[in-house]
Amino acid sequence: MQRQGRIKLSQAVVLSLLVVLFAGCGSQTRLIRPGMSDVPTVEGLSNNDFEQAASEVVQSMLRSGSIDRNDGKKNILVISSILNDSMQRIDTDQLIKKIRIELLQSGKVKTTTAIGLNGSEDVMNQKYSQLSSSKKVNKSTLVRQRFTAPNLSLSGRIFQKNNRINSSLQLTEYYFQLTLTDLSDGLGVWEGEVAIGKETSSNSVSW
Amino acid sequence: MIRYFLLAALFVLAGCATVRPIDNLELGPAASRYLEISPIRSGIASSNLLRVGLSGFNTSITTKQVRYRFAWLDGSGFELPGLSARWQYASLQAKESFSLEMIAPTPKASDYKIYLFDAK
Repeated sequence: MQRQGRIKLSQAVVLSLLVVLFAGCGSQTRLIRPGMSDVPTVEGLSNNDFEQAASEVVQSMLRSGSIDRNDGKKNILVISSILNDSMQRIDTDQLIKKIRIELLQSGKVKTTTAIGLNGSEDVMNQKYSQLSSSKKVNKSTLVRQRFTAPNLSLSGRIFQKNNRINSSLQLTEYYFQLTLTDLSDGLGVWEGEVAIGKETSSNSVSW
Repeated sequence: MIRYFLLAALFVLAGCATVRPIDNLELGPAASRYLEISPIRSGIASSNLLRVGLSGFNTSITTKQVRYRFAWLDGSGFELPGLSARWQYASLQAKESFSLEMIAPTPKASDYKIYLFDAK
């Protein structure tokens, strides 16, 4: 009788240990919203890093006065080449789009989607001209297209440097270098660099 | 007589101990123990946008990590979105002064509020 009770007790202990073990294995999902103060830091580049870089870049541009105009007109910006020389697969638009949004909000800059290194960013700019030959379109609703030429160009480069701190730690630095060129004379009117450093385990590979 | 003098001294000391709030600044309770904040400067940047700067001094003997945010408000008091309103971190060196500065994301911003807390 006493032995049976001991077996039941040990079974209960094992069962409860298993429950605790499995509960520990269960993954916990947490929603991360942009702008949250406790966003986890990752080894590679996260949205938080792009936000940080874009914010610093735009603040620097606004402080410099390089996008101010005295004639009341707005600057027209074209996005030139943004090279990714880092070891990560980066969609450079992740950075550029944030910069564009901020500059547009500032009321100082508009970005052309009709002119770009690889043609129109928005293909509809070209397709629109074909609407005049379509019988389905009411011709009186068509407007004559006149693209505004850009006066500023944004180009840049993202690169990465890895340096070993000691046998167990390494420093990974990401550099965001951007240049704003006045297209009327080809001179750079603003240049900025943002560096984001991360201390990681030397065993980790960041790409 | 001495009793009245002691009472008066107590009131004076109590007055000294209260931290006077600075307009447009919400300073966290932990941060307020080691930060001395100077009056906030604000003006218009050359790009016609509201520009706000805060400076202070870390009275602690250790480096402190703080998180801060500039909230930009329109004429009706509604908060305006933008990257310059995101939470940011700063490392404040022991017994050293610091300054934080930000330009509003849009000309619609007519007012602001700064949030400054200990990072822990």
